[in-house]
Amino acid sequence: MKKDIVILLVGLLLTMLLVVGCKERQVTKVMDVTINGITGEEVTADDQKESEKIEPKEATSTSEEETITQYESVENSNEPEAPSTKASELDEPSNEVIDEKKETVIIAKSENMEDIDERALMLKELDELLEDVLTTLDAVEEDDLSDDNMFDEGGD
Amino acid sequence: MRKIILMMTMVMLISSTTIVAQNQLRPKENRIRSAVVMTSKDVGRSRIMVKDGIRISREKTYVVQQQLKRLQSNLDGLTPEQLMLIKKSIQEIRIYQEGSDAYLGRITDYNGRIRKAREDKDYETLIQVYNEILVLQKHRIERLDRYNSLMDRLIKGLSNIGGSDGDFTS
Repeated sequence: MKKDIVILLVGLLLTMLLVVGCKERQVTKVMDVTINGITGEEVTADDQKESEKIEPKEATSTSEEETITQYESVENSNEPEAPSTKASELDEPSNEVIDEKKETVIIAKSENMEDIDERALMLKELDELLEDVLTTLDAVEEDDLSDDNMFDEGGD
Repeated sequence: MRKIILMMTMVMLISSTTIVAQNQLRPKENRIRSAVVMTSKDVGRSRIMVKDGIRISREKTYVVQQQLKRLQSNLDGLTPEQLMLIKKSIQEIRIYQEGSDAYLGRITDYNGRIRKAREDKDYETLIQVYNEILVLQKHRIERLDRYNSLMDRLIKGLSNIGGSDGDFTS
């Protein structure tokens, strides 16, 4: 008889622990539930496929217009003159570009000044664009959810 | 003694029934919480993919910038094909940049909504917000992939100048 009581007491203790444990932890099981399943419907294979498809709601805002690049404008405006005369006609920022071009021309030792100017400008333009991209990448990286806004199991 | 045993048995029965009843009363809440956890995990996975994409983009961009520095001292060595590639790349990167601005600052805007939905235990809204974020993230991943392909093309196209023809990305 005593044995029975002990067994029953242990059983009772375990049951109570189970009840208390369930209440406190509110364990969240990860089940295979799609958004459709929230309504209480059974999840079918079709529903799962649909839930996996995430179509972008907004189309990419890419402009198809032709971009007039800096080197093209220089190409049209440049006369086959010495770089020093061109530099005097341009404003301050352009002077820097011309200075760099002059330097590049000296390194390249080419007779075709116009071609070299154009190439140097193209490289410079591409380099500047890449710098812009790097800045944008930093901004994209910062544009993110905070870690505490991720919903974990057992959370909330 | 029998009374004690009977009482204990009753308590056990009542406790067990309570557990079962509690679980049966909250199937919808459990399901929706599971859905929130799953969607949040998807967002977490996408975050990692976006971060990886950004890291790769940076690395490839640095490589191209190094190549451009080398090219500055060897402008005569540029072939017409390489010039065309640079010209085309400039246009493509410019279009890429224009598109980037439209999507900046969008995800941080969701932080407040998520916080409020969590406080209110509004799981439907949480799922909706996470799904909207997933769309933005997917779009970013695609854009980063496109940019990385463009960088690969540039790296490959410019690599035979200045004596460098190895793999820059490694």
